[in-house]
Amino acid sequence: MLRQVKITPKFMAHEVFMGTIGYNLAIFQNEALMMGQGLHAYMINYINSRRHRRQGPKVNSESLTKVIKLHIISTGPAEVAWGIGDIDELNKVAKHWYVLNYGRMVSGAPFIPGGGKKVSGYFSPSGAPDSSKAGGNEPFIHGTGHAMTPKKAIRSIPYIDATRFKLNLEAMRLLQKFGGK
Amino acid sequence: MATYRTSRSIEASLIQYLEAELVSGGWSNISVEKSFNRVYDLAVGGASKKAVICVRLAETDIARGEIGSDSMIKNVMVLIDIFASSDGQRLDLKDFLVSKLIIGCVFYNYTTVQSGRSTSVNTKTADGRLRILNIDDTPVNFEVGKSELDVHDRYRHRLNLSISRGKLET
Repeated sequence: MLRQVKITPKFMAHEVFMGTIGYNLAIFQNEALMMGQGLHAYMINYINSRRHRRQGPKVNSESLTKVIKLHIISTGPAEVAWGIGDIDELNKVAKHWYVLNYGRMVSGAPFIPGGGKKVSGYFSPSGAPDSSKAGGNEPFIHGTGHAMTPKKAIRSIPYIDATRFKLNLEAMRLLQKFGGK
Repeated sequence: MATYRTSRSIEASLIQYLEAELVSGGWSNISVEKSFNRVYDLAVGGASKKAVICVRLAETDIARGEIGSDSMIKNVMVLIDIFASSDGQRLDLKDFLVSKLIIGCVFYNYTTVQSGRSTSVNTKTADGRLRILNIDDTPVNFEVGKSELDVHDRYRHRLNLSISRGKLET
């Protein structure tokens, strides 16, 4: 005969807290804050190290690496909260933040920051359009020059996913440091 | 004869696993690729509802296994991008993939052989399992009308996997 057994795990939040962070809260807060600073630096470095073209002067948008900041939300007596990048701010001045993370085809479709189908400008210093410069690393300068139509897919630089992956690992390590499991 | 290193073997093992599971799961016209740019050269949609899955190994987090040893604990981030032909297919496909990936898969070591200019896989040897530690499941929405988007970008989804081999590596 089978009997239904119901198991409800019971724990005291106070005991769990005292068994891990306990009176080391200030140290924990500091470590968590440092983790945020480290992850912010990691995200910026991730984008910069995978950048295809060197940066040129910005016309329609701001450099993503300048807009993504570490926002310290709270470091009150019993909490530490921070975030990296403000979506509202990114949507205003660096709309390409989403496209860069996920990648996308550009032909025929509105594309940020070029604004759409044709973009006017040239590659510096070669002054191209020159087929030999296609796929190169020269910065694109918006303005008078040649009308060009971007055709290739924007390869994704998954900086959000990479930082989230790193955050999971770092958070696990931080909790283990304080006796968490 | 050459051998794939761990990262390449992880990618290849996952691609082969997904291809086999898609066939046994009754899916047709779904191709599995390893290059993001190549996806855009393949057809998506149409009457046969073609879809493409792109598997890319992105980051590896390496930590020392123990003091005084050079053995490493590696955690790997793998991105799986789904380029579906409809919203329904996108959801079904991602749920199917999650259900297959969460149980992990066999890890193979590959050896390759060169003939002329081309290189092909010669043998594969099972060497433990790939354990999926975590899956992040994110729809990709460009907030632009579907008709304005390239057909590849209309119904996209991304799975972000944390993977471990569960063993020390040298």
